[in-house]
Amino acid sequence: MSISFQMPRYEVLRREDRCVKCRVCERQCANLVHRYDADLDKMIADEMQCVNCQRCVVMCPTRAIAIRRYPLEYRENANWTERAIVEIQRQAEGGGVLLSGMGSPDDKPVYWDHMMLNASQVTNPSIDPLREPMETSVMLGCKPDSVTLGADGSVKTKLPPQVRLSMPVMFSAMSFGSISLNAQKSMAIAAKKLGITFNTGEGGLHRDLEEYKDAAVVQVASGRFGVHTDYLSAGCMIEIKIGQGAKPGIGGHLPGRKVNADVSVTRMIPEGTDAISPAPHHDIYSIEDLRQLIFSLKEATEYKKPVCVKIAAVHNVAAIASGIVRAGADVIAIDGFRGGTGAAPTRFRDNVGIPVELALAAVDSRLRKEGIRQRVSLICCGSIRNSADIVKAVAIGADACYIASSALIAMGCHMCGTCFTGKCNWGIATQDERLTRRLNPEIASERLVNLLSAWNHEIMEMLGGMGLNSIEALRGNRLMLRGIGLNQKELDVLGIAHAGE
Amino acid sequence: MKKIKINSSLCVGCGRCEVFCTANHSASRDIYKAYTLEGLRGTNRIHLLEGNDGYAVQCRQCKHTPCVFACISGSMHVDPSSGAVINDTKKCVGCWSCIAACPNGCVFPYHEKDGTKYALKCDLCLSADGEPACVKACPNGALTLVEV
Repeated sequence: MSISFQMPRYEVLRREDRCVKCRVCERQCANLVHRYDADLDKMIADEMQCVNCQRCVVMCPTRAIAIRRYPLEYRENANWTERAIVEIQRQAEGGGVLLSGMGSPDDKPVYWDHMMLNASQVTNPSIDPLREPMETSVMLGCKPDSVTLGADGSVKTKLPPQVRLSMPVMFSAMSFGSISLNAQKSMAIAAKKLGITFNTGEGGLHRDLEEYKDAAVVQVASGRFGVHTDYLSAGCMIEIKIGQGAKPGIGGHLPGRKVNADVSVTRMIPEGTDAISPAPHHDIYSIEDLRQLIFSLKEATEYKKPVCVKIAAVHNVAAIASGIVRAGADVIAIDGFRGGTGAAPTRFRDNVGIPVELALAAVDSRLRKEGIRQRVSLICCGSIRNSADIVKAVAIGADACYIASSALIAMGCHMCGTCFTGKCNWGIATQDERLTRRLNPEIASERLVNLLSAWNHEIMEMLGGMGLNSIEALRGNRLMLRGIGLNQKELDVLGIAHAGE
Repeated sequence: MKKIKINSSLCVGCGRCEVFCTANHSASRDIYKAYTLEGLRGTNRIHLLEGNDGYAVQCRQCKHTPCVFACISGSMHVDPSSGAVINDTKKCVGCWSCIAACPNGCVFPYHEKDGTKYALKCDLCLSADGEPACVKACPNGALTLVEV
């Protein structure tokens, strides 16, 4: 037996001139960091357990608590960083694969921040969305190559099924199991109110969410959890999940301790068993196989629902997307490497995949070149942080964006990245009834509605500034973007000019 | 008439209601001073039932007012303007009849340092103006002030 080399990652700073020992912090910490010591008449902290979720900081009635990085001052070394050393210590002790939650925190280029939007000056008028009409709604689905109109102007062509969104945003896939029912319900309520969609993830549709089914995108992933005919017909769109940006090439694993009675019924698996989603779909080994699944799903739902295929942004994403369009998908979602997750092996999260900005540009360009862009709608996902990211994504070529981390942050997530422990103090990534009740769907859905209403307003303002009066007029309009601090190759892939050009 | 309602399925058991209740009934209306200088720890009128499915309880504002009937001094009374049951601590003699009579355990004994004793109960923060402190401090909307 030897001692552990691991040190706390965070330090709990408690201002004694403010702490009244009310023990709110102690009651709210699922990691058991805070404790009242009666002998000392003092609150004390076990800092080894702290994950920096900030719950105690927010809840403390007297603002007596602050959490900061533990001052672990290893000898300065740009190569052997603190993180590199600590990860080796953890693996040397535990012998396991390193796990991480949420998106990659690595300092890799964020291309959104290297693109600037245009605005009208003198030669074309900008538009004030408060005074003039401004359209931000979009239709997702395959568009026909041509449309014939009747004598009365009505559309004669039979249009493929479409999903109408009031703004180019949807809540991304997060399954019941990985997140709590209250978290999913909050997004369902908000989606219905806003006229957008939420996504069931691969965990099935809980019976309590059936009243929101019109706003649901139902996912079919490699584990096929909770999939049955009624489930497929329930939503407004079906999504086949091939890959996830945070962990391209591998499947998922919901630990058995998170599979309680409710999760077990919804996923249609025994209680307490691990829910393992295989890395591949065992019936898909080619574009032809994917086509079979797409049309099986369309057949099962009488061709009334568009089918989306979600892939992770990887090296040959453009060719893969072209194949997916030809396989019959109506929508393609491209998930970049910064995308969030409940749990991913750290090495995958930080080293596999490519930035979604480049993937999206490559896919849009390729589909245009092949003359099949109209057959599919593109959804961009993987760390969309604000309305400007959305506007830039649409300008590159996206029809809409998925948001997940932003939605979780709006509900209370503080990005501590320990979702996989099942002890989420904000009641999001947990199935513990004492913790899930901390998320009141009424309050959380209101926060989501507030966030997206604000974003929609900002999108309108930015469109107006560019002299556009609809989001459709911006899609693929890369003239509205200019790069800053990018090299020629990056500009070429993004298909944009440099600032000043 | 108004009363504070608890939705037990939303109560997160944090106890912020207790802290803000104490502070709102202090002279300084300051949490730190109330707990230290004024020594008011434990004078909260709302109490958190500890345990896995614990939740906060305070006066139910019963219509049949057993505490008022039990009162020997006439201090416990129905406030004519608000309809709330409140205790006039100046009249209260500290016989604890109301505590024995309360079916919900929502009246509490209090001894001041100078020996004065009286019963404490929720007054809907009428003495402190505005929305009850516990309702405002509740992080999850579990406590609400409702018209009954």
